[in-house]
Amino acid sequence: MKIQNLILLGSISLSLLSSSTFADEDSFLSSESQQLRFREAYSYQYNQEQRGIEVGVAVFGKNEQRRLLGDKVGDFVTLDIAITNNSPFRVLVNDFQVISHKGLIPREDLHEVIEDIDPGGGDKGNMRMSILRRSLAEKSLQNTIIEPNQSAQGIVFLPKKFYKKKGELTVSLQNLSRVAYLSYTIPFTGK
Amino acid sequence: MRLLLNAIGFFCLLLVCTIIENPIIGGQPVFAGIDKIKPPKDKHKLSISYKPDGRQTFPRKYNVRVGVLPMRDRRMMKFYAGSDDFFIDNVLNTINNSQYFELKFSQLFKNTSRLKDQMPAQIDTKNLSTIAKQGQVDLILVSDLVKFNLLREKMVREKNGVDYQVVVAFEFVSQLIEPRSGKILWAEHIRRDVRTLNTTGKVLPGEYTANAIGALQAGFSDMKQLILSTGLEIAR
Repeated sequence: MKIQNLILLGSISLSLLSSSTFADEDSFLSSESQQLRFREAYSYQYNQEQRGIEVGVAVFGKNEQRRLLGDKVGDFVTLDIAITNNSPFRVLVNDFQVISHKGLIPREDLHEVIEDIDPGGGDKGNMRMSILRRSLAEKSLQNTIIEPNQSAQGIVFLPKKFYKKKGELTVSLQNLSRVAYLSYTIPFTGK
Repeated sequence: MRLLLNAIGFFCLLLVCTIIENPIIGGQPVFAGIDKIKPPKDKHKLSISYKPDGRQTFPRKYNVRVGVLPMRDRRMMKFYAGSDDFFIDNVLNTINNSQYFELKFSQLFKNTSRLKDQMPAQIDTKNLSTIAKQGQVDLILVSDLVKFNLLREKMVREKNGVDYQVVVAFEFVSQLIEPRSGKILWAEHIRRDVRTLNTTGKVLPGEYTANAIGALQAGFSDMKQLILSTGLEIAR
């Protein structure tokens, strides 16, 4: 009888363990709680500084993309961009663009990225699509105000067909004290 | 032998239970019942246009004329699934109208008018002065629409069944500029979202439209409050 109880307990533990393990295995659900590894622009492989404001860019690997967005990576190259404001002025991220061997890469609606990643159909696909949409909305770089001593950080997606291991990031920042601009052009390579 | 058979029986029973309950192998209860959201047919679409609350007036902050330029659309994605076609109205026009009417109703400025010029890609004192002269205004409000999106968020990650929030997120950056000098009197990134709980799995136009109107009202209310409290005074 004792052996029977032991086997029963063992089986219950095993099933609970396998159940929780499987539940955690959906990479889209896991990616919900994953944030960009926060760092300031000076620590990026490619960076440039003007008047105390620094812009940095790095190309993500597929593993990082999987951690942040889920297992399906799609046909995109992903840039991690940070802007650190060490000046005494507030600035607005007015514009950012990427130029490649084919010229200016058009900024696509993030829905195209979701479609390309294609998290599947049915109930599971619909929920994964919602997770992905929220992730992209939160983790993408956007036009925003950067207060003194703060940084903005976000992802930019480039369709692979427009990018061949080399590119140039251009960023335009607007001073929010008086209308004036700072422009950055940062060449980068990778992936 | 009997003991061994009993044990195997228990094990098989538990394994079957695990598979049925398991979200990945079995019935996918964590994801179950989530419908795809598509733009509704025209007859089911609703309007996001609304009348500002006339009772919410403010003390006059600027005794001058302000012109409101149409917003630049700087969104990374349209309302949902690559489309804005979820309402009767054109999204950008309606948001522009709402911003103008909210500001006009507030009485923060002596006079509020709508400027028809498109906002230049890069504003400067030259193009702003021309716009101000043509529109006969003293100050110009320029804005970038950053986010106006429908999102869906599961409330309890591992809980089975349909329990998520329908979120409409609204974000914009506005600047109040004195066109001749290029001095910026006020600038802010305003973020608001309105959420409702959904347990049916089906998102209806009434639900996200109400959230969208709520987010617009809250966002523009923040704009007015912040202009009043943090806008710089004009030197006399």
